[in-house]
Amino acid sequence: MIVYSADGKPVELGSVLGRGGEGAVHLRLGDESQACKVYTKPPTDQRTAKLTWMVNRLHAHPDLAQWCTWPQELLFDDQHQCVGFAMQRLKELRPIHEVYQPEQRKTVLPTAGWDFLVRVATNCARMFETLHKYDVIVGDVNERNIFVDADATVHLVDCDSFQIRDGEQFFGTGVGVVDYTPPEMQGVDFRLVPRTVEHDRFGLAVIAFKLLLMGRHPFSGGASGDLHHAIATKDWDYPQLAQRLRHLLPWSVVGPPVRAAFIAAFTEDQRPSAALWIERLAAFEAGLQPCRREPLHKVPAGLGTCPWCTIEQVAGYAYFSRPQTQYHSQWQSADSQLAPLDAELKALVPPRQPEEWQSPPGMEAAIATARAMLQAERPPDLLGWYLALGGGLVATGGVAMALFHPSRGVVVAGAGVLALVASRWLTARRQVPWHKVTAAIEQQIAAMREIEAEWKGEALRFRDQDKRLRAWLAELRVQVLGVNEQRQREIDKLEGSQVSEALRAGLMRYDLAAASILNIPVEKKRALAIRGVLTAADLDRSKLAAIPGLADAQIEALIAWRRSTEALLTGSRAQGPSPAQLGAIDANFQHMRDNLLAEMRGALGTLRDSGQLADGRMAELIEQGKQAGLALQARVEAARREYIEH
Amino acid sequence: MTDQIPFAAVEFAANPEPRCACVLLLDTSASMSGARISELQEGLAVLKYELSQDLLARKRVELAVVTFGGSVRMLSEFTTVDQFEPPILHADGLTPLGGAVTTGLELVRNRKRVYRQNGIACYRPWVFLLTDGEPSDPWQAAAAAVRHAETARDAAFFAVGVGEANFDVLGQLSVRQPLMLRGLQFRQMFQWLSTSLKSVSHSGVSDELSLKNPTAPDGWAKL
Repeated sequence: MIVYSADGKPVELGSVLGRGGEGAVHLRLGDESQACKVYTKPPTDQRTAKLTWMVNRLHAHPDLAQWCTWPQELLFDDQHQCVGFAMQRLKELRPIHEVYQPEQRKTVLPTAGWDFLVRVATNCARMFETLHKYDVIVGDVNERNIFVDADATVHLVDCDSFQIRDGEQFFGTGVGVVDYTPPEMQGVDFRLVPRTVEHDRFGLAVIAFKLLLMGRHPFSGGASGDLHHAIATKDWDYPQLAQRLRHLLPWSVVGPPVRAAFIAAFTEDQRPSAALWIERLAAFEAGLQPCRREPLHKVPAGLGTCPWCTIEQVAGYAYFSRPQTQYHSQWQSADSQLAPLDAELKALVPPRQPEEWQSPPGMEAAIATARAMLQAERPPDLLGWYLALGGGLVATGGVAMALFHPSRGVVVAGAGVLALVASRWLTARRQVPWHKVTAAIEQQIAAMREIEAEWKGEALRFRDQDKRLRAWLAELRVQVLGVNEQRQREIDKLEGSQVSEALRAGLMRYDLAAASILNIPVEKKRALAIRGVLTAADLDRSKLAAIPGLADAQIEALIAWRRSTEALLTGSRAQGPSPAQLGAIDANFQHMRDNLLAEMRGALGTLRDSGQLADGRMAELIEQGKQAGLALQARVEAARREYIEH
Repeated sequence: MTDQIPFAAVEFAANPEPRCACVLLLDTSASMSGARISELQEGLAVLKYELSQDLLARKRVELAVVTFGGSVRMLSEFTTVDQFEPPILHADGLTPLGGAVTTGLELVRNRKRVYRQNGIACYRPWVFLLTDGEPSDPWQAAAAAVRHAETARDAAFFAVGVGEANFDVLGQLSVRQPLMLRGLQFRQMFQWLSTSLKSVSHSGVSDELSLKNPTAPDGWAKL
């Protein structure tokens, strides 16, 4: 798009830097230092007259544009109709609300302390002072119109809405935001009532309050919760509120002259001028000193304790926390922790091996005796034998006798039969049969062999368990030693990927929605957003190719935008892993190693317990074997006495 | 005396901006299944996206999501836009609309109390109801509660009907004229909601809501 300067020279407009209700701000091609505001609707004659006055006024007083984007040159279309104006281009500045909101400020200005915020407030006062000196009223004071640079200087934008009075000429503002509007103007139609410098002073006081008191609007916390109502009724009670809410900065921390200025601004009709704010805030800043614990904590001289430290302790919120710039690793090798474990392992003797079985005393001897006895002849049942033989002979003799002497023969034969029967009865009554005796002895020997087998089995089991535990311990030891290397690899990896990570973080700050990219209409951006493509970091070809309805030219345009953004960012790459990242790695691997060492200690305990258990169990079985040997010996002796020696 | 420190304090220390609470009461009854629920799901993403583009609104607008399909469920508690994750919606069951409205009003009431305890200014909370059916539970008490909240300026209640929604009931529930969604223009509806919330959260705490008319010929709603 081409517009023209007053002398007819073409001015080429570049991409859109921002869009507002009235128009868009473009880059001025060929002059990096300038931007051009082009209205959507042609400005009214009144507006054109105002801009003309402003441009002319600037020639007389160049300092008007010192802290704001004051119109510097009118721009026209080819019909000589005014369409906008050229102004200073602000680069890389932050809207002031990102500076006074604590959490946001910690991200965008991590090294800013309270003194920085006081300085921003003083600079705001200087900015107002510069304009008020020429009877220019800002009118629409609000947090979107003020931008802060990294050096704490501030700039106002939307200068075409300033209220200007010059003799007979009057150009009003017509707009305003409740939060920065003084009590007497609450609910008033801004188009009908001209602003005064008192109104600006109220807005300035609100801005200064927000900067000094951690982003809080002075009237928030009013009984109704409604800012409009609280301001209109001057329902201002920060001091009481700060007593009740411990996360608020105590009112007494703000020095008396600054406190008095705030009280005057919020409760009286005569409000401190910008010049007074400059004086008091500068004096207050000069008295700030860092606390001993945290250099970002700035404390007014004479205050006993650091209020920021106190808030951290009692409310758990750090209003200022500086990212560590250096990291001193406490990392050490694991040798000192492994040494006692190694010593303990060495002291643990493995349990006896299965082949080391030595029969308990008496056991093998008892078995040998038993075997010898069983192999000897079957012992005779002498008494029974003789009785049976005698009975048989007598019975036979009795039968023979009966042939000659029947009555006597029957008696003799009866006696013989009786004796025979008695012999069988006697044998049956007096003795366990021999085969049963041998079976019992065999059984006992088998039981003893079982004890032996169990001992060996147990020894095998304990040996395996011991081996397993020792192998596990060795494995853990290797892992413990390996953590060192793993940690180093992780750090190397981080350093290697640092550049792309830094770039990625940078790209993530570039919202697609805020960018103006040729060929990419708002609808398309919305479609991209729904599929998770929100910032420059999300733009890669494969991701874009997967999104339906995106033309090749559009993909190219998006990639080109990403490239140009990358080019902007290449200067701002991080130098290496941050202390926080290194700390996280150390903590992570320390944790991992502690877990491994704990596991080693556990395994050693199990090994020790298992050894004790093995010793006990082995001794128990040896005792059982010994007892069984003695019992066998006794039984064999008894059998010998009963069956063989008789 | 030793005061206890409510945990919420940290959240409000970190971000003391005035808050605009908005609870979405979304009908997820069985009749919403299919295109309706998926369009609604995308609409939530649009809402988050649109609000995120505004650096102040993302710190000021707090969204909560309550669904009513079978039962009334709180899917997402109040969080500022920068931390809001649109919940996943499933369509199932009946339409306990009355219970949802009562829950929604209670949520904004409680949230306002939390703001006040922590000395945080707030804008009038919004209760935004979306339904495609007929209440399956008693809703008369909820309607009375809405009227009461509107009169006391405790909440602004908006009702939007989809498809076969019972417009008569919505008319009795809402003090404002209920709106009927054109087709499935959920995205357009949430864009409008986001624009409205943005303007509410900037205007300071003006009493009257001056919103873009959604029933204009190019709008997403009809009467």
